[in-house]
Amino acid sequence: MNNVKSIYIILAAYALFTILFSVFSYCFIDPNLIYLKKLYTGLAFTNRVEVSLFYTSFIVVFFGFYLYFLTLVHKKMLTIKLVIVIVSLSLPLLLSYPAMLSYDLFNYQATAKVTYHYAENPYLVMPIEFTNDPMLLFTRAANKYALYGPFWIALTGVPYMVSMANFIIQIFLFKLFVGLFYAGTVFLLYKLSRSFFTVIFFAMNPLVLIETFMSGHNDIVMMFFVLLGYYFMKQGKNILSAVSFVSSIFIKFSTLFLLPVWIYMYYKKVKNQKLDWDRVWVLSLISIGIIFLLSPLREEMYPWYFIWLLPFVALIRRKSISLWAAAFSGGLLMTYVPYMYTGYYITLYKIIAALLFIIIFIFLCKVFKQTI
Amino acid sequence: MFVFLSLFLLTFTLVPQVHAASSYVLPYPGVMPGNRLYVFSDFLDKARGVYVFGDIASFKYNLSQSDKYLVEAKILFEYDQYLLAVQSLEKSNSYFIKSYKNVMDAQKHNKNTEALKDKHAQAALKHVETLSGLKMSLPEIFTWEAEKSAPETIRIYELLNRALKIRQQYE
Repeated sequence: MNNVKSIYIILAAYALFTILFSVFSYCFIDPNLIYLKKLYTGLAFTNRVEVSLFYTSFIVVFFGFYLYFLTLVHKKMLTIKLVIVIVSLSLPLLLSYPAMLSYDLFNYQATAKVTYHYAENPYLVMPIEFTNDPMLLFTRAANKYALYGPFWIALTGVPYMVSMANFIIQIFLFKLFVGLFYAGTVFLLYKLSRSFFTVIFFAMNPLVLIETFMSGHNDIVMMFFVLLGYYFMKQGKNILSAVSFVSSIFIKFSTLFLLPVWIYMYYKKVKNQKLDWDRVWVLSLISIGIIFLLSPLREEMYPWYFIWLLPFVALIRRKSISLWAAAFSGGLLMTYVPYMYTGYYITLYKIIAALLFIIIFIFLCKVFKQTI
Repeated sequence: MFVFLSLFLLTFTLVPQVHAASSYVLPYPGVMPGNRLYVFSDFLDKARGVYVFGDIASFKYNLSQSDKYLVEAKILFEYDQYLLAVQSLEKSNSYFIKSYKNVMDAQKHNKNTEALKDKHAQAALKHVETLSGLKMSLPEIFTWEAEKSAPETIRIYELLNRALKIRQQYE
């Protein structure tokens, strides 16, 4: 009884935490974002030290909750209802300001506007070519053609049309839209593994929650379709599997690197050979890990790219890999701190911030014998 | 001194003068007609056209095609391939007119067309410069005598003047 009571107290604390984190995100409102000017404080630009410390504290507490939820898994104290409650308690993060860490959501909106409002091909016309459009005041990288696949462009039509050109409603509809794919991904992970560890390891990972619910990145949408492809393959529905897989490639092209794994699975199915799913997850992790590690060659190793790997880490369920992945998630979230503090992008400081978190996290987990 | 100044001024009347100067840059020539790969290049260009939608994207596509075929025509004229050159010039004219129509459509749809009109005017200036240069080096009329068909008279100046007229209304 005491255990149940303490669980509910922690869950209530977690819910409060997500609300506070969402409120904190509004310190980062862009000064040029005219639609939220009444909420603008400029704290992120005038009080960099305090904001950086608060953010760091939030991340540390977030990982504290994460480890607690994983402990509940290991102590076999979870039921399906409790898992749903835990995952649902992250929903307040959907109400956060989307550009605290990344302006990508505004880019999704800008590209959708180019496509659906101006009826122009976003691969041939940049948002910046609409010189009088107010979105240019706060959209970064408006001088680029659409960076994502045509399937993502098509999908963004849904939140765009439903929002009826109301920018603020659009922000939250985009986040909700991405959130639905998060729910789908978590569901698929459960169907593929039947393991609460897999679900909690992925679903409650602070990097996943922040980059999906707060920043609204589309990587979760891509991973949903990849996992759907694996799910259909497991069901023996090869054509649906192929369609899902190709759909993921046409969101963000990274999953093209999983094509050899898909071909391997298909070959095994066609030859009626038993498919070792543990091997499939390991091969998938290696394949997508390669493109993740090569990402600095293109531009930068952005923290949200780690979402590509986390589902496979969750499905593999090996302690050493999970520990390093959890530590690396935190390290990646800490790479935002140097910019928050200095206002400049300095790669060396980002690496130091990440390494500090990773080393301390692993050290503390070893000392306190914390199981991931 | 007077003789020197007179000679100095005379040089300006003798040297061919270009009456238009534009910073607009025409593309490099690609695969030329007569090359075996030209069919694929042409097909890819047309396929690109299918992928293009929207006033601004269509404007960019049509203008780029007009530029491409103008460069093609220029090179073909220089290599005395007048029959092929004339075909390329006609295509260039057609795309140029379409590109202006795209600007008008964009205006009708309340899009900001200042940059488009400026680009179109710059392109017109460049095309006029190129066509005027060609006019100075080409014969007025040429009779194309193909091996197995009847000779064909190509009124080069007439075609160039028509092409110039199309551009000059947008300068």
